[in-house]
Amino acid sequence: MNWQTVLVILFVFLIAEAMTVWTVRRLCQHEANAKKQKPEQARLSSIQRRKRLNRVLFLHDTRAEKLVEEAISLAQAKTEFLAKVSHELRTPLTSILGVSEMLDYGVYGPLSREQKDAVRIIADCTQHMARLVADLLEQARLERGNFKLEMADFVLEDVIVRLKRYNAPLARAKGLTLDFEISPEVPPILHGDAQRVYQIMHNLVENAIKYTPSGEVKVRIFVEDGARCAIQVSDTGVGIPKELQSRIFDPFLQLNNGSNGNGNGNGNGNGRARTNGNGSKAEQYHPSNGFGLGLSIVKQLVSLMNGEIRLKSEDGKGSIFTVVLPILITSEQSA
Amino acid sequence: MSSPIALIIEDDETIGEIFTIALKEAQYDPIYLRNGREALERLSLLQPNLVVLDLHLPRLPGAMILRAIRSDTRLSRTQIIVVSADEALAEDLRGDADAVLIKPVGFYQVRDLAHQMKMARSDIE
Repeated sequence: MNWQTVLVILFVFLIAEAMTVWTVRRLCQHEANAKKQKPEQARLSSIQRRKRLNRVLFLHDTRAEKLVEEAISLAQAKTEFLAKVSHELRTPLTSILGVSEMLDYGVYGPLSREQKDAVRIIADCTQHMARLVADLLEQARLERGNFKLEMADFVLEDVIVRLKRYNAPLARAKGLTLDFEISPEVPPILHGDAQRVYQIMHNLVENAIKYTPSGEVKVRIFVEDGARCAIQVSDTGVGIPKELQSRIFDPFLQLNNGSNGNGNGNGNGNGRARTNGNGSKAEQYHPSNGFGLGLSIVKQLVSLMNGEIRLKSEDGKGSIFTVVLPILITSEQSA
Repeated sequence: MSSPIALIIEDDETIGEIFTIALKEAQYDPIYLRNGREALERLSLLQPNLVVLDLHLPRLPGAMILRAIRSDTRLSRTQIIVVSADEALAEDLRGDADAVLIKPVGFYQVRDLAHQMKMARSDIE
């Protein structure tokens, strides 16, 4: 060992010792301040310093563990709270929706055209609020990080029947065609979390209906690359401007001033601009049209399923969302 | 010909009224009950064609009523629509129900579904 090496080792040793002294002083100072002691009382010998350092580090580790436990328990409490709130909100929402639809139907006597329009707004907003409540709960579940997929074989047709049951009346009410096309190579039984696959499809279809003033919404299911199942939802709706496409899956996306074409800003709801009947851009989104959680949830679920999502859209000419999921039954699963 | 009987078991009175009118519109003869125990007693005397069942009920949970109907051979032809705000519980019971609706549920939705179920049953018969 030459003298340069000895100098380097000595230097490193001194630096390490200085750092230890400095760290202990800081921690002692911190503790002394916490106990309102004078800093002088905290001066200790070298051995005492090291013992104190170990004890302080142990205490910090314990505190960190306690903080993590508290954070997990808080997240759990948040989800439980949201579940409770969601349950409590859904019952009065049923009354509002039911009574407004009975008014619309004329159970309590005939309504004028204006009164009918007003009643339909109440019903639409109630449906929207219900969707938000469900989305917020799902987002909280996803944020907890311990979201588990329930994998099992499921019948694709059952998922399609459920989708039609909810979405066909919505499409019919807007005068839209809702079409389903299942390619013959797609097997009737798939393997995955059926409820989440339904949710992905439902969010995409509901979104497409919402932002399509006229024309059609089409769902195509086919096999991609011979190994994965592709679910494609296309619409003839308002489309998504290019500059918003990279952010369309962000939760609570807000449009900036000018990005919606009329310069007023303040809009939200997945950033899709609303058009009037002739297809020209008419107005920005009203907050009642959503916080854009639906597509964010779709992206998170697709990612959990090791799938991918693609978007092709042109402003004013409709959108095509393609979700590709590994839900075809493999030879190992069928064995 | 008399209308088919529909039993509505729901603790919220406003929702009970909405379902009653919706089922009348679907050409049923609805009977509205507010608690689970009473519903079970009536089920021992009646053979309803349709039961619209809430899950969180006073005195006896809806899940127990669902199981009681499904285990009673006398009620083997009774169709059941579970209507609940508790999505997780309702999904767990989907296998025993003919249909599951998650609240909020509209007047039109209940009327149309009940009507479809009646038509499907009469097609089979």
